[in-house]
Amino acid sequence: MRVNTNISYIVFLFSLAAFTMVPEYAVGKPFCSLRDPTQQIFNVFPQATNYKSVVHNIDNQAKKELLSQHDFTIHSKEIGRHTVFFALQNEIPLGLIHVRTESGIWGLTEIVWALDMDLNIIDFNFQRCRGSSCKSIEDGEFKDKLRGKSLGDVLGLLKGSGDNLYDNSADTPLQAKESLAQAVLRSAVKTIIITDKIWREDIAELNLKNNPDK
Amino acid sequence: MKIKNSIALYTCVITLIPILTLLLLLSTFRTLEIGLSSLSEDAVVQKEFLAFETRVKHWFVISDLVMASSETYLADDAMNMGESALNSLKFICNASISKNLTESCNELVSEMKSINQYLFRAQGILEVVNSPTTRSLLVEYDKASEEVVSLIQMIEKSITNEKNKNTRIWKEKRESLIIYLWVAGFVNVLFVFACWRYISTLLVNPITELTEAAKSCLDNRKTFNLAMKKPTEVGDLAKSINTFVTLLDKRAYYDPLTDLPNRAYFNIELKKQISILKRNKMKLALLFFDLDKFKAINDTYGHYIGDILLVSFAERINRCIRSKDTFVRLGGDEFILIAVDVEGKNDVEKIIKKIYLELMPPVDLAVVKHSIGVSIGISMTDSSSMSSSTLLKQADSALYWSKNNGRNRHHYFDDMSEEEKENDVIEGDVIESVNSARS
Repeated sequence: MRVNTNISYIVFLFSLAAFTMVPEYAVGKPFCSLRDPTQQIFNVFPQATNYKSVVHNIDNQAKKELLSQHDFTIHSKEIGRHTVFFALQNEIPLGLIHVRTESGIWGLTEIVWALDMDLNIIDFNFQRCRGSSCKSIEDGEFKDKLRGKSLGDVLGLLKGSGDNLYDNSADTPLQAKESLAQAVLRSAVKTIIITDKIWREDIAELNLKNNPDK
Repeated sequence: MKIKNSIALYTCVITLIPILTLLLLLSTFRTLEIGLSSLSEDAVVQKEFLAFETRVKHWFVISDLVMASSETYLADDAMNMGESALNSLKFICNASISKNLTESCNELVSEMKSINQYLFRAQGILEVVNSPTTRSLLVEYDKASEEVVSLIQMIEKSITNEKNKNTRIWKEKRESLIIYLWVAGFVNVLFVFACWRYISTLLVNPITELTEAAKSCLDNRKTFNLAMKKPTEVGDLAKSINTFVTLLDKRAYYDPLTDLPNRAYFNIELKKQISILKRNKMKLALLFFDLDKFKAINDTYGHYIGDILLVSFAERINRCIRSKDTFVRLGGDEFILIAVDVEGKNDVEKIIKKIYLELMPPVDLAVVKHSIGVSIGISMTDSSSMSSSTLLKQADSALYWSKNNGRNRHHYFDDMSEEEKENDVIEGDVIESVNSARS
């Protein structure tokens, strides 16, 4: 049995190695695309009248810069074309939607982040999440506590124990919830930083249109 | 219970108890073996399930890469990993610990197979991002994969609970079995002790008692009289020996015709009575009887009639003497009465008077009625240093005097003159020398 497990693990490693050897042009899309964007945007921003999708390349240079400035990096599969959706109400930006993927206990966890134009957290939803802790994280007080938080606030939460972030009375084991909650916090930090770095000009431009005095 | 029955019963039990103990031991070891094997299988299944879980997690990562980024060239790898995981799942589902999880296992297999089908389908359609078909496929994939995770967590929890339950049960069983073994061992020891004790009581102790009683009988010339407490064969043997020894005793110490003690008994009894004289300060009188004209009766009417006369004489004397006195037949028509605890001649006279009164009525000898005439010689002593043979000689001398002086009378040795005593003593010594020479 252990041999089979090892073989599977080797297959997995070979698969990952294969990703790194595939040239960038061969990679069609990064694996964090928003599923059914129209519905998702209008769910989060009901007052929106339209939206704008802005596609940027996240390249190796961006990855290196992130690595030098922060204590996290992005996976090679995150290199490529990424889309951020800006929700607009008659050309006035209401906020943005950015999908990011984190490695979870059961496969990949895809999180749809909704940020305001100052990159504070408005909301988040799991586009893909497996395990009993997903629902308790998504529906519990953890989400309420994240709403309105800035990058600094989230970093503070990430460094803390995180015990006060979610409801302990739920059935899900604390360990699983802690693990998922930390993954969500890491994702929030990564999302805000990448958005700020890659889509900064677009945000500034939209903000300028909305408030020319700025 | 008879020894043969006891031995039969004990043989059965002695044979049965070790067999039962052996069976119990075998059964115990077999049960423990099954238990350990079951626990071992549970542990293997749990370990296998963890490996399966890890495999599924890897599978999901690859599958998610296929589904999330349209990297369909990884689909084959993902499907192979799915098949591999399915194979190990079959082993887990067939294990005894998972018997009550058959439905969940089947459902899990079905969901995993459907994920592999979605991966297969994804190869054709995922290139078109956000098309309704793609969205539908992704929703179905996510739903199936979430169901897989939910089932895996449920099965894992059940297997862990079942394993813990089995471990607890077998621990309790093992403790019970250990107690059974202790009890069986204790019963065996108790039984061996009971056997040893019973055999001692039944055989060894009675035989020892029998031996001791026989030794005591030989050493002290006591009557062998061993009463066995239990009616066993040894008890029966003791009874037979009692009867046999009583018979021997009677033949050795009693006269078969008159049923009176004989000369051998007289010798022992006289010595015994003389030895205790000092203690009670009383005298001992020896009355030597000789039937008058007994030879004439024998010669005239035959020995049969003579025997009747002897028996009749013995019965009559026995009737009138005291219970503490001893009346013996020395042989022929000679009898002796050992009268103990007499103060003097007065007491002896009372005895003699009773005897003469008793003998007064004639004896019916079938052919003739005969009046018994008896001559009596009496010697007395109060000294324990007196020898029995001297006392007997004195009584014999007195008897001789009675016979020579008209018969049917009694005479005391002490009343004889010194000359008569001396003649009689010389005569007695000559007779004793002749008897010694003959023997």
